[in-house]
Amino acid sequence: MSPFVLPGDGRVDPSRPTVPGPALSTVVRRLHQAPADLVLSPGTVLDAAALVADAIDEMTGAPTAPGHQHGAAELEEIREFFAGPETAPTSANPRSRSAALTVWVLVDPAVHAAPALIRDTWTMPPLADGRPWPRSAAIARWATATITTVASTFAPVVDPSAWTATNASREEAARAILRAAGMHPAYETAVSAEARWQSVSTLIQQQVLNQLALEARRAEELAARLRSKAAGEAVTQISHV
Amino acid sequence: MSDPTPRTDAAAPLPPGVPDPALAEYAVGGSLALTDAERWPLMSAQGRARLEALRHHPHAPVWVHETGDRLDSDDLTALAQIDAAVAAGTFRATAPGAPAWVDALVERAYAVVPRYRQAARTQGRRARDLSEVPPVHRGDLIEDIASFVPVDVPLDRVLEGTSSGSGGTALTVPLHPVSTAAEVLYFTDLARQAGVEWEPEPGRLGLLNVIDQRAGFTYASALTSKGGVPMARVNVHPDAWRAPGDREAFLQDQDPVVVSGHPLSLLALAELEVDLAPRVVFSGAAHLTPAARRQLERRWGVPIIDVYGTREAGLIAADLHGTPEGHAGTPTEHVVLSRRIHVEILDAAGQPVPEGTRGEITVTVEDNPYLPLLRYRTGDTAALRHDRLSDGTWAAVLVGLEGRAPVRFASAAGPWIPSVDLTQILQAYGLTGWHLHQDAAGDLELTVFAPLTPADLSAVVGAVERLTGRQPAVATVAPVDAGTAPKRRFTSTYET
Repeated sequence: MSPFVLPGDGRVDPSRPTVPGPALSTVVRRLHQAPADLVLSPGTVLDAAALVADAIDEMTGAPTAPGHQHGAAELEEIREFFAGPETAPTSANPRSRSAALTVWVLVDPAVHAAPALIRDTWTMPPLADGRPWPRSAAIARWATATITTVASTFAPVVDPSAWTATNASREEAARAILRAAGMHPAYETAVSAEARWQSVSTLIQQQVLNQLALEARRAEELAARLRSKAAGEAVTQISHV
Repeated sequence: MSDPTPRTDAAAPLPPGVPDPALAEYAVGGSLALTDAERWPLMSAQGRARLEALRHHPHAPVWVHETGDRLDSDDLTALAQIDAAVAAGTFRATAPGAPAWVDALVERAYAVVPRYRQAARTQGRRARDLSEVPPVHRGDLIEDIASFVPVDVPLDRVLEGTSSGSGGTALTVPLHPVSTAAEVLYFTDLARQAGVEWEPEPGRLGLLNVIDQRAGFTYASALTSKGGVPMARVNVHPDAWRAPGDREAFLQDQDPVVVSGHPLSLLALAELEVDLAPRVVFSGAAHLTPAARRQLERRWGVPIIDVYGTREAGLIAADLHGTPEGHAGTPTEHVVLSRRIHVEILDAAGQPVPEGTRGEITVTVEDNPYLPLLRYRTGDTAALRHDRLSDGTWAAVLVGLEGRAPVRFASAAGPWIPSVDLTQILQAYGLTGWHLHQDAAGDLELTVFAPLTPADLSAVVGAVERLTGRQPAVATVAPVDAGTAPKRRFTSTYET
């Protein structure tokens, strides 16, 4: 798995605050306009690595062909990520199919060229000769991390074939991609966007339901135990408070 | 314990120990469920013999209840660790701010305490530190105590504690045997600070817990964490004894090493014709006036330690010295205990006030695994001062503590009725809030929260009249108006 992919949270780097990205409506509309051949059903064969490589070329303007200084590492990472049994092209697993729609969103200049993203892009250690990484390399790394994060954390929860189906699913997918990309919708704050995510995320809502069910059982158990004669006999106390 | 329900047959006699139909829980043996082995898993044969001797003492009171400390060997290990930490001052802050364990508690609470998990869901994130945690108050615990209990703590050891507080409705507090028994360690440490080593003494009761009220739980027990030394909770009210003279004979024979009580019960004990020689006396639950302290000091000539705390938060602070004689205007100083407790002073808006400014005492405590509390507003006020100790740690001091004042009411027949007797009655009849006042002429005025049916109101008035011999004048207020009503539930201008 890519070292950029952090488990569970759905964000590439939870320690960094999200930056303003495009308006939510922009990303939702982008998903709504996705060509039908990007909305892939289970079992669809897809060369996700090639798709991603093409997308990175488009975003960075720099080839990612082997031997090229910048992007080659990302290409290898993508190939490795999508070559595993969990992400095999013909697998029913949704991870590789998720790359199609994620890429579709990221290649929109409103997303990958968002001013805040350009300004606050990945802080990377300088090259061995002290030169900073070029912008194209930063974009390539950002895109790779975003795509693999979405594939690992969101696609297993909501199948990519359902992302564009309804208003609610489009919003959830849009927010999932923006979060993974380190952004929150324009006209929202990082805090309000996270609060909204809590309420639209299928995974979180399922976790919440599980939590609430556990808490309800615990409350019942606590009440029953406190009603019991054993608890009611109380315990020796020495203080007056 | 089951909720008491008034009987409909007023002619039938009440069980022994039950002064009112609504107080059926005080029937002798009415709340028993365990064996002695379950109450004291580690009690030795010698300990059992001492307990039996105490229970069946020829002058013993009517024991209303039986209860143990439930401690097993793992619990003793945990208590030993707490003891070592207290002795080493581990929990004292190394700087005036919140100690490191507070941040860890905040993180844990937002992960496993339902109330804070819900807050994180609503706000989209967890509190980053204590300053972002909204304060809570007693009403929040009454409304949903389960929401404060962590979901990852097994509930098999939970015990029922109760707190009357100063807000009317009784609060059920989930207690744990270890955190409750830890009070023995804190008392021992406080006694040591006052120059007294609390050690068991053969032939003497280890601790006497004294009450003075019409109905109350009394029991003979033992303190496992103190080598199984016997202790007893005793009611000095005359109705609690089988025969005249039993009270004095029993107390004289037991001659407790340590006495713990409420200011009024301690004063009642001090007035008895009994020569007790405690090593140290602990007063709690209400303000210990300088006059009361002097009286107790003159009676026994030992340190009188005024402890402050709540059932839900445990012991918070203690005043070992009181106000020097002749310095009546000097504010008291209660030093916060060396345990896992952090104290703030907040203003009415819930914001911390500057050092030395008065405000509401608000505690964060992680002691009872069933009830970690974050920024719990106690309803009591003080100013806070931090003193640097010789070892470099900081002690927090509550200056000018104002908590609950002891109030008693003059019955028509003459005897004084402590407010706790009225609390029992009013809570037993389901009142969620009230104000009872006795004026200079002795007349009672009772204000209760509406709505109350005429039948319920009549029952309450009847109960108060049976207890005091005085029929109160009654007024009702809507709960929304309660905020403008006096905070104290009991006031009196009868005594001057």
